[in-house]
Amino acid sequence: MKLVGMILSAIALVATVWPSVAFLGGSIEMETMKKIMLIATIAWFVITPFWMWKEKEAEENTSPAEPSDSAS
Amino acid sequence: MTNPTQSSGPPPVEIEPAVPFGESEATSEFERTPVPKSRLLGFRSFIGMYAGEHCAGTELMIGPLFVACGVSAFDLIVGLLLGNLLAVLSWIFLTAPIATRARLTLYYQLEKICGRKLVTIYNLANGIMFCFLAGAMITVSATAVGAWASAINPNWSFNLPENVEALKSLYYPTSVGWVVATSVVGLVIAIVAALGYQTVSRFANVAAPWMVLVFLTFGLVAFKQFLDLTGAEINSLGDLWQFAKTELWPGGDPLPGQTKFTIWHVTFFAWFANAAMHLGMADLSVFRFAKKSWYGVASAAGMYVGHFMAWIAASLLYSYRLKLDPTANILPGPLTFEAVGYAGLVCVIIAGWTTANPTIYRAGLAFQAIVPKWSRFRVTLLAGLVATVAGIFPAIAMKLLDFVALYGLLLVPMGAVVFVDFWCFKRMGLEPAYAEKSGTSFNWAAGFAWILTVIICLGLVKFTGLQIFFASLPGWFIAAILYVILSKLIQRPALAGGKS
Repeated sequence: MKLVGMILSAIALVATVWPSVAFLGGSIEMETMKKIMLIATIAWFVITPFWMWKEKEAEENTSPAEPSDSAS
Repeated sequence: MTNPTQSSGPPPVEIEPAVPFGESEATSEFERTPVPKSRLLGFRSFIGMYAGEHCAGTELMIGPLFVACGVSAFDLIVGLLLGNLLAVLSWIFLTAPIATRARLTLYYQLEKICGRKLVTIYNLANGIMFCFLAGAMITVSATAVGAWASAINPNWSFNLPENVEALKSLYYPTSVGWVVATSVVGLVIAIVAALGYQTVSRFANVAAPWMVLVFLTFGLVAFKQFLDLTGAEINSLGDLWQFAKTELWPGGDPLPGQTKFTIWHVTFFAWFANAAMHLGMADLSVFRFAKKSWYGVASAAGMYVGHFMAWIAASLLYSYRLKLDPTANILPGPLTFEAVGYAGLVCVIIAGWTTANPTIYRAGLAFQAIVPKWSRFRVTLLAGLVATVAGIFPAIAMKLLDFVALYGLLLVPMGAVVFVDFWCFKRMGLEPAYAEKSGTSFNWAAGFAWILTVIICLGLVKFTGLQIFFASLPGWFIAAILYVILSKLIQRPALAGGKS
């Protein structure tokens, strides 16, 4: 489930930046770019907390004796 | 500037800067003890932290302000490359080596050197600066709220004037709508900060990667708009550079009320934008968790993402706006809305909010040291109210470059004190961590070194024409020399007395 969430978040991130690249290349219009960016933004903020916060909680629940190096 | 909320929790009192894994509630057991080996972090942790935290709401003011200061393409690009390199080197060679040896927070280390009372005064100065900095962030967010309101109803006036000719009016509120917008934004931030910091911190972690990319889109879109407006064609790097020199950052006179920026201004500004963190040693609290001192190089991720890419992208937004309207004002909300629509407004609001929130929290902590009987909720709310009032007056945001320079100047001398105390005192026959060893709560040598340095530097600015952007560098050396001389005067009689 976490993996699916991470993949969807990655797609949302790509969809955030791709429209501006396409706009720069002349492939899409400005208004289309703005709409895709807004949808990607909503997708990112809806999807990402589910897996990122759970991951964070799991980290915080680890024993203090364990190195929190897992984040690295 | 930085976005401190990428951390896992709030540090007690840090500067604008950030303290990530330091001093969070989860690691509060290390506030007064060295970080043990088992809790040290790997290099990638620092890369992620710095990359995320240096994309803050204030970047959206700083980039455009460079343009308002009449910066040219060469001065901007080379100045930023050089200044950010100097900042990274400062982290690597000044901050990280002490952090990985002492493994203490700045505040505990300062307490050992300066004594509790002097640290409290230092925290108060820090807290006041935090409030004004948070005020600038509230101003930035409020411009997005104003732009959002205008998008709903063009007759709603919740923003600052879009015309720079109304410059005088930029220093005080211009309409009831603006006061309402900033008050609402400020109060929400203050209440959230007072109620609890952790949720915003976690939200900021979610927002960070997205924000970095949205900043990038600002630059890409503005660049395309420039191309469309001028009809220029870019077929080589030479074309690109020519275009940058003639269209993107043509230089020239600064806008009214701004200082003309040369390469040296850009270099020193980029170097000292986070002076409080490296020269000022605030990031001792960060790098005490580093396995090796060379991890200081991770700061490059923040500098070249936030203080290079983001500043350049934000500057392009305003440069394009100026091309269309030479009297255009710097309003991050409308600038980003025109470029990328509602995603841009969300970015401005989140960038301002997630940065202002911990800043207010930290100001509250600083004030609590003065009035320990007040609850955390009460002091944080008070700090938030002060920041909100500051945010209503856009002068700080419009003079952010000067304010950031002043902020660095105020905190850098204490970094020099820590540096000299750690590396030089034993070799000079002086006692390091003098306050701890002598039991004093106010080390006059450190106190005078700090205050006299600030007075001397401000005097140089006032009477010799030295611009404030350059004052932190001599300030560091003045503080170091004063601290040594004053310590020799104070320590010898005291220690001799103690021995007899």
